[in-house]
Amino acid sequence: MHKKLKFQFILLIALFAFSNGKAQFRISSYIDIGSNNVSDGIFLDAAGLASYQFGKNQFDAGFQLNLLQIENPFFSGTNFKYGREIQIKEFSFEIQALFMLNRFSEFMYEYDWGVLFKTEQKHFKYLFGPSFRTYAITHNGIDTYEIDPSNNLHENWNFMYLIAYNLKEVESDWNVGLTLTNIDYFIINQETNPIFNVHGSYKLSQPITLFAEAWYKSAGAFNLSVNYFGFFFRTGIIWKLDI
Amino acid sequence: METRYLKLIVFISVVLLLSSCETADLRSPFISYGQINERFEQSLEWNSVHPFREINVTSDNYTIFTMSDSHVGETVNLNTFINAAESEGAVAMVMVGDITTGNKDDFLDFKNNLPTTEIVPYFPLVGNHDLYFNGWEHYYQLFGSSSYLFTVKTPTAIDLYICLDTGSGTLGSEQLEWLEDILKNDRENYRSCVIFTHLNLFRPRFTASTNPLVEELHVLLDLFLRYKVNMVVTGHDHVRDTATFGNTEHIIMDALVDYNEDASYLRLVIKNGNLKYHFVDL
Repeated sequence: MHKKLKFQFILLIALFAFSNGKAQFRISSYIDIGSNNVSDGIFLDAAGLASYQFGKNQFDAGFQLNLLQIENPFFSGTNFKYGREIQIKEFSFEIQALFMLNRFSEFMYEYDWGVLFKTEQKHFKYLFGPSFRTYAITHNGIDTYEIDPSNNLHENWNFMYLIAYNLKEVESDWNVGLTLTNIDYFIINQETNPIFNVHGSYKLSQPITLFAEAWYKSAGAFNLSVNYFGFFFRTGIIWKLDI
Repeated sequence: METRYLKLIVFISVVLLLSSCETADLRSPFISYGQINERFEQSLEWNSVHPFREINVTSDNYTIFTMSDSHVGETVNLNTFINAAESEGAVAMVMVGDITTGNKDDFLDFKNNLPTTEIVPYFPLVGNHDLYFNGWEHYYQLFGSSSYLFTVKTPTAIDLYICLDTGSGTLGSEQLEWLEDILKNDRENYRSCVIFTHLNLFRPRFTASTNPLVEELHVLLDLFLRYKVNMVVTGHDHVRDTATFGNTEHIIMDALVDYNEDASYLRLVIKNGNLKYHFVDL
């Protein structure tokens, strides 16, 4: 285990050392407030995300906190992502590897890993890729309910997607747009449960951008029997720092 | 380039929508005929006038027959299922949704094929197809509630069977609260607890049909573990699957519909307090 960590650390340093081009560090923070069919009233989550881009590589990491629902874990999620930009002639895209942990219960958790293909044009952003989900029981759950520790449940080859449209180009001082997706920072829904959001951003100054999003979730759409599921509002701030 | 992508997305969406227009209600992906909370209120109203059924049996061993996705229309497999339940002396039959295609005539055909409840008590639930073409109205007129429970009382124990409506892809806030209340306050009074609902919770394979959102699944899994739900019996996916998570067995049944070459139904056998299941191929 130590050798593996050492190797990964050396690899990381090597990537830093041998990359060229400017590096950019980005921190963002947001809160979500909303309700849905299973939230038993209002839910309030907070999240912090950090991103380090150097050359064609980017590392992202984040955490989520559950602030209101006391029966669920306070530290409710974490994610890690590595992306590499690739250029083939005039077409540039990014391949991302992601890992996500969702601690939704005192006795259970879920983790997902997957690969995303990302490309952006002037007004559109697309992400597609497979993910693999595992549900597992915590040690507390295993002890309390006498469950076989190897009892996991897997859902393989879930399809992740995100299609976003922005009114203005990405680097504009302000922007509004729409997104259709089944993924968020700390949850990946099944491909047959699309979610919609309307989003906007405003650049307060060169490094600081404010953003706000309104998300709408419905159930049953792909069963041709749609039903309201939930709504939440997200607002936050992004701080970019060129190194 | 962007316009081309947009056109492709629109084209794929239209193809998907029109691909099953003969049996699919094209309005319901956008505006359904009713929401789950409204149906649940009606189910509660029905339940207040029609008490939950307690089936008394003289033996500690008994059998429940259950099926899903008969999609009446055709009734050959349905009749095979019913005849088998009668001849084996099943104490109950549970029809776990997508009983019909939502058309009124299909509901009537289904009802006309059922035995009287004195022969074998039957417990239907709605699935998404049953809600098409305003099907809930027909279902409610004929069968009433789609959110209820029944019990089986043997000389030594009582077992709890909970029937839930997931025809709209979610339990809805009120039905979930009702389920939580039953599990928190009543579960301990029963030996075993089985939940029947149409939508399969897990996705063992890639399909175009949908399941409850992951957020809802999180809440349900937690409840099932905390309150020792022994088994969850579902349909919807049309292809059988079994999985155990925590202390709960999750079963997805085959579709019973006549055109399915792999049609089957499920026998739940309760013997000496143990709950076992067997798929019976047609």
